[in-house]
Amino acid sequence: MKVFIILFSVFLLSACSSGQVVITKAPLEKFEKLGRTEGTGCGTMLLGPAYANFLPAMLNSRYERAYNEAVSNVRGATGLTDVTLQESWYWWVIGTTRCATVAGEAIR
Amino acid sequence: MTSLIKMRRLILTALAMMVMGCTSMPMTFPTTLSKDLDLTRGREIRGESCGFQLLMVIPININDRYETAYNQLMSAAGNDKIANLSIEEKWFYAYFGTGYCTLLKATAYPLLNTPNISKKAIEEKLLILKDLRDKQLISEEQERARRQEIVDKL
Repeated sequence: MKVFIILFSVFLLSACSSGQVVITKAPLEKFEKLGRTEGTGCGTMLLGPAYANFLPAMLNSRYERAYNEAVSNVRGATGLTDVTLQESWYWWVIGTTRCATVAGEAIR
Repeated sequence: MTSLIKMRRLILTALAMMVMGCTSMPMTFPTTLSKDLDLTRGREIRGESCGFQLLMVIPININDRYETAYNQLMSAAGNDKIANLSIEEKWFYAYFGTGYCTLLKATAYPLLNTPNISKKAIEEKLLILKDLRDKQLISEEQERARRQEIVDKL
């Protein structure tokens, strides 16, 4: 019981952060538009039921991956402008998957 | 036989739940070229909102937390334009569910030739004027003229 309480307290305090993910850079003097692009990064919070749902699997890096995918989808792109962010999620019994979508105009 | 029906129901329910989910409102951040911005007057702005996923499936302020953070950021920007946008996601475990917080940070730059008067400063000046008028230290005409001067500076 004591072990459970200690573990529970630790998990109660457990948390995580993605860190700052840069989506648009400093104002640019000029740039060349290369076309629309989009990237998606998904991650899952495991493991159901709710009281055991605290194991992140690729959850914290999803925005970074979505941004990198969007940029790398267009050859020569160095960043994005007119960016749109969106998140979707779905539950699948033993976990909840969250997907981040970063879309925008690829530029260089 | 009964257990087979129960099992089938369970599988169907699980399949139905599997496709359960939601999508947030898309947030769009338009880009402005630097030649149109006063880069000497950039200021950091932020918008933050949290939601809670109760029992893994019940979203409480989960889907609109992006919208709330976005609205906070845009409200902080006012008429200024946004650049250096970054997003940070945080989560915390709370036994009955998981909390998620979204933090948007950006730098707001005013357009070139925008007067350097903040909304707060204008409100303060108008309050001072009203106070002076209430104390009858200035006439109604003087108050009106001063108000007009403030508006003309905008």
